[in-house]
Amino acid sequence: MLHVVGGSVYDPANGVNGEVRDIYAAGGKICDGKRAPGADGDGSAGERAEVIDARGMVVMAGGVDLHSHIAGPKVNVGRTLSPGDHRMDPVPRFGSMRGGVGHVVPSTFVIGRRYAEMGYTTVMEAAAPPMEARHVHEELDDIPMLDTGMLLLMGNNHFVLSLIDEGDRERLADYIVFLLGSTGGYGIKAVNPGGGVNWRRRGNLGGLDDAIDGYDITPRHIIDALIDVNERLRLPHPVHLHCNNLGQPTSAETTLQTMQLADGRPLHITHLQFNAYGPKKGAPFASGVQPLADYVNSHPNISVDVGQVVFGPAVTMTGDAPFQHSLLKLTKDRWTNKEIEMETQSGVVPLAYSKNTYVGATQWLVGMEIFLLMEDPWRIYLTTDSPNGGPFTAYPWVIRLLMDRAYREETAKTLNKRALEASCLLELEREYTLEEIAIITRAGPAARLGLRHKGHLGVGADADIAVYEPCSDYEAMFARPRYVIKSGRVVVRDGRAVQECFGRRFLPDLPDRDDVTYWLAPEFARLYSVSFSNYPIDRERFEPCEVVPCR
Amino acid sequence: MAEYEGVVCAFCGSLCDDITLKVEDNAIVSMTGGCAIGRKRFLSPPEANAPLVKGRETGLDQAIDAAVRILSSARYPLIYGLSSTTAEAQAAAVRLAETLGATIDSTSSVCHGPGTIARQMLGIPTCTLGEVRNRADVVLFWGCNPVEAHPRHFGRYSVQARGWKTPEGRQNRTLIAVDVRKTLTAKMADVFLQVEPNSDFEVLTALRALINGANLTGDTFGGVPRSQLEQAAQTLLGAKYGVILFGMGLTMSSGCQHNVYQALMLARDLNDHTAFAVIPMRGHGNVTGAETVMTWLTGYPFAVNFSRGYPRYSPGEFSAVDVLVRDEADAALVVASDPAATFPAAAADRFAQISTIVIDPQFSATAQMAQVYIPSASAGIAASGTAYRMDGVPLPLRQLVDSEYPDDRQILNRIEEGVRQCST
Amino acid sequence: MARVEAVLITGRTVKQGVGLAEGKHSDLYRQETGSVEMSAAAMAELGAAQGDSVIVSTEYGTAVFICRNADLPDSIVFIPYGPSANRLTGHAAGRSGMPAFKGIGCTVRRDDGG
Repeated sequence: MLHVVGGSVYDPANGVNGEVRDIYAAGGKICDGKRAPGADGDGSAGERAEVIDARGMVVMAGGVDLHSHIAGPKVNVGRTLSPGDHRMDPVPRFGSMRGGVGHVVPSTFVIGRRYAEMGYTTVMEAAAPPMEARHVHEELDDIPMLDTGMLLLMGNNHFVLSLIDEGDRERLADYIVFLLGSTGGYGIKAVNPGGGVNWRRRGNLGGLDDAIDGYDITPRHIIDALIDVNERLRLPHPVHLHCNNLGQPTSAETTLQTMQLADGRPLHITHLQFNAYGPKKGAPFASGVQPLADYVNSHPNISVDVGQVVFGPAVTMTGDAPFQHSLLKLTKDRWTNKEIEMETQSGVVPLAYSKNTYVGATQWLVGMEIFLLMEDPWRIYLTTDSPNGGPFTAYPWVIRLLMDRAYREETAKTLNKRALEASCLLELEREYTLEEIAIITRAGPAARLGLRHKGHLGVGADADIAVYEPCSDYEAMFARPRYVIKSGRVVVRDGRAVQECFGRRFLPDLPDRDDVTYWLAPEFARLYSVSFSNYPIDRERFEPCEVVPCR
Repeated sequence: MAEYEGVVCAFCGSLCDDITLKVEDNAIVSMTGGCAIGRKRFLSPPEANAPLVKGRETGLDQAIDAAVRILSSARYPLIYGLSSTTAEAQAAAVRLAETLGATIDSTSSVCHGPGTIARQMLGIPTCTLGEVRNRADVVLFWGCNPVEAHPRHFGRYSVQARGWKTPEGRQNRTLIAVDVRKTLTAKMADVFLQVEPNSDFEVLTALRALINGANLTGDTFGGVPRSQLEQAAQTLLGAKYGVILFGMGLTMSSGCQHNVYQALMLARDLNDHTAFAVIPMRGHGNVTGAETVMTWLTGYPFAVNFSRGYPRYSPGEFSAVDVLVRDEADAALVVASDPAATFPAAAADRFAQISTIVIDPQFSATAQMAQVYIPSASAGIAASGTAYRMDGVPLPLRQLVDSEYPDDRQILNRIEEGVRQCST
Repeated sequence: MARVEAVLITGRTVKQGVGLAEGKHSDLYRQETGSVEMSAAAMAELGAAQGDSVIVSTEYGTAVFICRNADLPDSIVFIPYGPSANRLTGHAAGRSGMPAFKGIGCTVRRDDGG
């Protein structure tokens, strides 16, 4: 039994905006305060309540990150490429807490620890390849402190594309249910749909209506079909899309067309910043945010996460293999490319963002513009596409930039001058409130993921609570919570993890569909290098899990 | 009687998973599929030995206690091996290493480690084996001999294998082999480049020069005539999807990681013209797992030390052969590996001189030298878990029979628990 | 006495692998790992016949092997991985932890039992 006393609670999902309230938790859940601490009924008769004095402090639900690269083959490649960097950030074991290494792509125990030490308790792995999903699960199992899930890559999958080409939506839905169920995936992820297929011959594509080698369809067809199937299946989370043309100077145009293609149906555009560039007079590479913000502001079916760039080292890792190869050409440094039979491709390139370069500064400014021009905080989420734009440990810094206009401007003025002049940032006076921060880092992502027990502090929610000491330096405030509670137990004190615990895996409650074995097995045998019987992961490997209801 | 299909053989890095086994009365009685080595492994494994402490048979608990005592009191314990056990056991070994403040290393350091070092410096363009099967029209084996070391690789993945864009299998492919001698693999190749020992670096850089459009002067490079190199370059450039598979010929001969670096750069250069991938021909069944698991838990792939309470990485400093030859380790825990059979004698002999514990389903050569021998359930036969194929694809090892002994993971966890209790 | 200077390569063979799976005390394993392969010309230079005992030495050590013919350059000898090969391989600095297993200078002479 836990009792958080006297804090200013920011629980936007339940309309609580800074009221001083007590929060009660028992059995790992938020419970009704009218029960006296230690009352039975929750089976803990006689148990003394732990009391947290939160007077003068800010209380929020545990943070929810709906897009971060934390586990799996790509992430492990990122670790492999950075031994010299790891050396500079060793993390000793501490009591029973396992040690490891930090820096931009930390080892598993450190990922969990550092997320918790910012007050986060739920993270969704952004991109898992089905054939290696087992690897993703094994790494997630070794990330402490967090409840997790994985979004499953489908946008260049041979069977997905073939079924779209054939026009068989029902069978496509059957296959997607099979894919999610056999790999423990949470939702549909698509990355540069169709582009990965063209990468086989080291090509790409430039727009929604471009040709895809070997299939008589276009990216437009893929995205439309995936959204359609998502609606049929009513999965908890919408299609989660890394748009075509990422990183290109004309990407905003492609992104706008992609949003239009959703046509009122739910769609989530990820790391929008990397897809929000457009030409301006005299500048071929500049911000293309305004039309995108206008569209999102007037179309409530669309949500975005920002993918804010953070100056300093980063490791890019995406399923956008052709784009990743172009980064190699820029950096002339390390590059790993992997092609996974019949399914997907990925690339990993370490790099660094500099505020002194026009491009680096512009990218930073674009991210900020997105945050400040999008009006509905419920449909915009704080991410750095970690570690692509920068490490997740930079979130407190981003929060400060959003809440403190003077700091933001002071920072902006240290950027490349040309980039700053081309940006409208200095005209944007908005400062995020604590309530809005609670929305974009907790309540909004949880709702968008369909996680009804996360991101809020209503009765029945998971008892994941973060308690922050207010400070005029919002970065310091959010970087060092006084307490973090996970499932009703205090796991962080004064910004330091004190107890290791392990969370659970989210799985969607998949509807019953026709069995795909009879038509898939022979094709699988022809095309894959593993036996069909070894492709699905035993369900018990996902335990402990929570099955999340569909919409 | 039970029949199991899709069984994974964990002997070599090919991790063939198309084997069918029949099990009766807790024994594997028949097998379909697999190679000669796999058949031996499943059908006629050596008999289990009882646990031993100082050569005397004893109970499992006593053997584990002896191991706990040795490791708890060691100044510099070394944990080594891991390449023939499950990912779960490998993770348990890392946990034990952290608890002990030990050095932990896998067979990578004497095998494909240099390739991993090169990969750390450069990255690698790579693919899964199904891509090789489905798309590769040029296959280059450099310094490896799969006919002898990975017997079914040709048939399942890289040469005769028929796939999506390779319906005629062997006919769809041009095979190039590069080696110091005409191995059985080289005999099957369309093109054989015979290089002088320790000249792979020179030959690779010459090939790269050709790929990058330079004119070479000189008649031979590393023993290979220039005309042969020029032809090979043309073949590589003409590939629709080329794959380079490399082995110990690069990692072990002079240059080690610098050889692999050039091979990786060759593939990178080729990717400017066409599509190329590289796959290391990992020898042991789950050495890829050892690297993968160690990397996610510590940030580093092998040769890791925990003396300071956090992982440090230094091949040449924390790699097993070095630690042994410099007489730094005073205790060794060898798991699922037989270094006495493969290490240079100067290192192998140390196992008899220090306090060595061996955990292995077989009474190995190293076990013969050890103070403590703990038999364990064999991965993929009497113990389940995950193994990682040479291309990184994870596969499930199943438990087909029961063993009277626990598996490596359980034994390692018991030792770790014992060590923690000792220190409280 | 005739000696041959050569480069030693150690490596895997199917028989060594089968022997491994069988157990290192098996005849197959011992025979396979106790063999050295040489070209016919190299054997002739040594005055050794197929099946004769020869002594192989490197800077790291010395061991006795049974020689057999193989399609090899005259200057290369090949020995499968195993306990006897281990006497000839060694730890070398400057190789980031990788011992010298291939490409080692060696000397081969007939084992006349003396």
